[in-house]
Amino acid sequence: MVYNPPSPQNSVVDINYAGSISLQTGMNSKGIFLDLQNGQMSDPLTYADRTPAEFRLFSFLLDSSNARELDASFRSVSPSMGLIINTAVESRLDFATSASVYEWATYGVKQRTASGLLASANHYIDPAWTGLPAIPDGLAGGFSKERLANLLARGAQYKGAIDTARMMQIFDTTIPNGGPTFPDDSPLETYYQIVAAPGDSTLWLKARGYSGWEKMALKPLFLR
Amino acid sequence: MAGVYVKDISGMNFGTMTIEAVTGGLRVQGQPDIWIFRQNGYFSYPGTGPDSQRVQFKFQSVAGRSVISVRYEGEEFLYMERYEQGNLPAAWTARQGAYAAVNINPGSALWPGTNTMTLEVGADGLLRLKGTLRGDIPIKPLTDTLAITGGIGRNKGESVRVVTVAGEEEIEFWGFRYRRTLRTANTFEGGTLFQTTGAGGSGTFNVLALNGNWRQMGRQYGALLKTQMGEFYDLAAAYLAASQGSTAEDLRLLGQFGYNLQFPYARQLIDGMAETSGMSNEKQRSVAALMGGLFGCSSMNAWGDYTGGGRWSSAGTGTRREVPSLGSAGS
Repeated sequence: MVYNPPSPQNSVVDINYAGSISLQTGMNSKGIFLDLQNGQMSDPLTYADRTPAEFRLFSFLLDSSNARELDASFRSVSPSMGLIINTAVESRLDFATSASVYEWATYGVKQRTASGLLASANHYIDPAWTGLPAIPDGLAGGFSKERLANLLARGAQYKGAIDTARMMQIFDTTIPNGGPTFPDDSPLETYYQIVAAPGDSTLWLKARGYSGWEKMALKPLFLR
Repeated sequence: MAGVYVKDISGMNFGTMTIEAVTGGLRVQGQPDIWIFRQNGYFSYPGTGPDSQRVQFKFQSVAGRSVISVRYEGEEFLYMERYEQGNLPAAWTARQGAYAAVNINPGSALWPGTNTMTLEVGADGLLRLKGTLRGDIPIKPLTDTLAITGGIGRNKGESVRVVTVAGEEEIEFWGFRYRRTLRTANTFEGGTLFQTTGAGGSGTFNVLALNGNWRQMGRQYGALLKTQMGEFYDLAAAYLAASQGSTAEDLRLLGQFGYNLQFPYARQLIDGMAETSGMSNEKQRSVAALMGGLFGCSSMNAWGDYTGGGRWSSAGTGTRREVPSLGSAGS
């Protein structure tokens, strides 16, 4: 769904089920992309009376036009449950490029940054956290450690050559073969996958077993 | 002399660049210094040392075409050609959008990556095929269905044809044939429902474009996706009944709970959806509160040195979204 609300809000695309008003993966017309991961293995607390993070993320994209504004949004509120948000920014205003992972706990947030490559799965790894639960190996831990290790290894392997096509290839690779994707015979399944080029307002969506990588060039649909 | 020119950019890539008149000479896009005019009729970089005129440029007309040649170590080469876009027929501007190749396997050795391109009129008014094997290239329409790639030389001046296959337009150049990745399926009060074409392999997705205030966007949403929302609700309700024993009343209460937590603009959106979807307000709020849940997503961002070009290239996510649940849920 591509929303073009009145200015000054940004155009936002929300990749979602028909009718669901929330946002777990989305991108805006200012070149900001974000993607949500469950972080409850590291922060199992939940607060039903807090505004769901999926509602807040939608607002973050509507109202943030650069990395600084997005960062302020993450630091201003706490989520209703432990989450991990990958963010990527290619600002159309100042052409600044950056990415961050926000390990967004119900009681605080840590921002991970790097120079060129960031990855996350379903557990917190920022060294500033203390007292985090141990993450089991394998299925008991949702293969979170294995998926993260595989992504970092593929990033290192393809350093200097990671374009959108390579990103699709990486996310088409199953965990036993060195990727992040659950194999078809796994008790956990991968349902859909997204690759985005936020500076070009373009994304590719694949629903495993249903489609190939379907391109969506959204620049003509972003009116703000 | 000032204007737009087509030249090789890097390797076999080519594209447009601009030359503008400035005090003392010409400013050439992407070059470190201006060109100044010399007594021999050539331009060169400023300076008086022996290297300052090692490379010289000349504007000239060859067989009726305006070109710039470059003189280097006693030999003269074609450097770039002046490019005039001319009028853009409405038939071509109407074709703007994303395309994917349909006559080769995506990612095959013939095209090292996903074989897609975008037809776009840029802010400079030039029509380009963007993201091609040879970069972002300008094309000049000759008729409503024929254009040529800009410039002189390899891959330049070649035909770009519009052909009709099975009742649908496709764009053909360099042996590749491209089909739109988004088709218009329906419109309502300023909103448009597009569908992807299956060019990525098989199945398609809805792409809903909404425009206006939040209630107006809700009305567009409700009208254009009423069928899909109904199917989604039925599937989710059946799943939640079987897995959690949830009743219709449970869904109603949770829908109202989620609605109360929404920001005011989102409540206006949901209210607008109910005006045109044929759903009651209660059911519409339940649908709005359904979201993918559970666990198992991964995400990766690459930019800078990792993408090779120094520029942001891509963000990726391999994500697992389980069947829907109610309330807040990450994946």
